[in-house]
Amino acid sequence: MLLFHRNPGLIDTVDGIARRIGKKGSAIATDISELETSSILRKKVVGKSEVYFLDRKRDEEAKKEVAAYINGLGGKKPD
Amino acid sequence: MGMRAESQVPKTYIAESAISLQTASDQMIEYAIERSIEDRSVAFEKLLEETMRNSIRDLLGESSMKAILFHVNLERVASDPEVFHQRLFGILNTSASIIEEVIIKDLFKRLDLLYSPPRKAFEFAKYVGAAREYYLSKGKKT
Repeated sequence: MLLFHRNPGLIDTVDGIARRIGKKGSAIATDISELETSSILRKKVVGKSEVYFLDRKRDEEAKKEVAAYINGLGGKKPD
Repeated sequence: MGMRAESQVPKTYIAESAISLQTASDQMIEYAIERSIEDRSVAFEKLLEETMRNSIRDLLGESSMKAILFHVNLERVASDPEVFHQRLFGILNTSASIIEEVIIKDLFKRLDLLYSPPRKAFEFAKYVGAAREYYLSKGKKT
């Protein structure tokens, strides 16, 4: 997620994404799949390749959900 | 005239003055070194805090970053990495190490240090300690 948050316009294959973070495609395939299931990443077929990109709207929603979860852990909410 | 005036000053007085001047000079140097170390230590803390905020923001967003730092409840978030770790772990449990590793990777990158993942358990405070040591020894400013 950090890669996509720092490069919100990134569109790449699983292997390409993995290379960018110094890992193998097989090591991140499950994570990518989970992010696709939660609609934070979207998949598109370009030629023979499947590429993934960030769904910015859904990502913003997810960020809000995470913030709400952390805020719900107790104490006052920050501004 | 000058020669005579000089010869009237007792040699012991000249020697004592020289010693006290030397002592004062040494003390000033020591003080300057201490100040320099303090300045670098403060600069490192600033760098660490900036890295912490940026890393958490990039990973989870602005609101979550603020929420985490609020719950961590440290006046100076980078002042004590061990306490930060304990409190972050208290909030997020094992997920805390994901955030901590992102912070360490970013910190090492900013210091041009090579980050290598630990063979055993990841220890946030140890990595921060190593980065601080490097920063203080090199006097690097980023």
